[in-house]
Amino acid sequence: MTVSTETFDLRRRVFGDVIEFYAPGLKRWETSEWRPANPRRFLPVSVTGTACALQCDHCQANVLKGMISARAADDLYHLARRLWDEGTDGLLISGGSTRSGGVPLARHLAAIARIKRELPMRVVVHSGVVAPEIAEGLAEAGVDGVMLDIIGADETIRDVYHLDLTTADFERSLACLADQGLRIIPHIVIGLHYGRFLGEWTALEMIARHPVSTLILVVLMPLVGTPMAGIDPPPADEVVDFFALARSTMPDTKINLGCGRPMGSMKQELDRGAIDVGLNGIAYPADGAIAYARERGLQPRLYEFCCSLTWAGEGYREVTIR
Amino acid sequence: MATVTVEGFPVRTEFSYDLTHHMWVEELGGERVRVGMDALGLETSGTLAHLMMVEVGTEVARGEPFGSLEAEKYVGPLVAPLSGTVLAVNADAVASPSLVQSDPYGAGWMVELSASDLEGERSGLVSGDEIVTRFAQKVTEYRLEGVLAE
Repeated sequence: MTVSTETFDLRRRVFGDVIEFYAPGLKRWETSEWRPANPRRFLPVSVTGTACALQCDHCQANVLKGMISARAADDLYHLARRLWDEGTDGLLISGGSTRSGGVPLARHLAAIARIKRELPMRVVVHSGVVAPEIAEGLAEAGVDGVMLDIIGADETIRDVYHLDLTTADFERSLACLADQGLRIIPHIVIGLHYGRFLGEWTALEMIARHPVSTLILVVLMPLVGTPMAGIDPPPADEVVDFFALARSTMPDTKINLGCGRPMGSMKQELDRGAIDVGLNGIAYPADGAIAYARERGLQPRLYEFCCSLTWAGEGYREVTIR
Repeated sequence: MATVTVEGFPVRTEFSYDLTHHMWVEELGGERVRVGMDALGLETSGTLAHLMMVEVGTEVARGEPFGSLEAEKYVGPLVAPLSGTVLAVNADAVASPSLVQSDPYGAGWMVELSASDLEGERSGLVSGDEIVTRFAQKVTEYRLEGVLAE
């Protein structure tokens, strides 16, 4: 595995010695190093419940099962209000995809705007492939950020997502969001093409052409009950090499290792690799990763919110290790 | 041996439960007990990926970890429902965590303990007539919190 002194030094020059760890309430989680004080501080909401028209080979709606359902347009504000009253101060508004590759957000824009107007909550949305009018609506609603997966291979868009789109449609989505001045938080799913690298390098090039807030790298998690159930993710050393490439390609942009990645020993390897090659932060760090970051001379900061909200650290309570 | 279905989840009524940590306890005779995870705990954890257990001979205290679990929607400790000494670890479950999901109350057991204070700690578990009601309450609570899909 490559231990890149060069990219580690690069991140220290540009970003200093701080490394950020994140534990949002997307799942119940604790390690011997960190037990979140308020696991409900940042929660995911699905505007389609557990329904997804796309039924891609990667997920087949499995990831929606752990989200809070808010299908009716009127529900979203009231749900947010209730969650705020119960101690939640950030939401990921997500959902299943339409057949055209986007999350059906249009009928929820008024509710999202009301949440932003009346509640002091952070709101990030999963847009998927986004049309200009949705990007405009999201900007008017005042969302804090927009997340979307960027795919850099037409074969992956067709075979895995079953969409009649091309990489140009994903790049246009980035442009639409940028035109509206939205904070863009693109994700690259490493190994999305049935466990192997295909469009990752192109996706990175596409993203680097736009003013993104934070790049989130995640790694294929083959999910039981999907066509990818028996597939191995790419080898950890190749994934870490891609981390290093991303770091050197986008030296001034925050890059985090997001919450989606294989578990067990591979997670340990990926997290150490992410630290070694100079990524800025890690969501749900493997047990021992915080100590390892200290060994590497970094100062850990812990946040109970989504790793996409990298600009919002001052507005959130940093937590201390017990 | 009786298994009933409560809000869609199988529950063995002759076992005792720590419903906070979703552990069941089967008394095997004397101080020996078998411990596993209940079906609701498994549902809210998602697909299990990795199990770790303490070694045989380790003393564990009630409310403290006897192992850890990494799953799709839960990463954290496996919490002992009773205090005692670990007599056996289910190596098959460690090698293949899917066994816990496919047969949570049978072949998917996790550890066996020699309970050090079975009489004293038994009252902290849910058993008998209370099981169905308390289990159903937990399911409702999780649906309201969004832990379970409504």
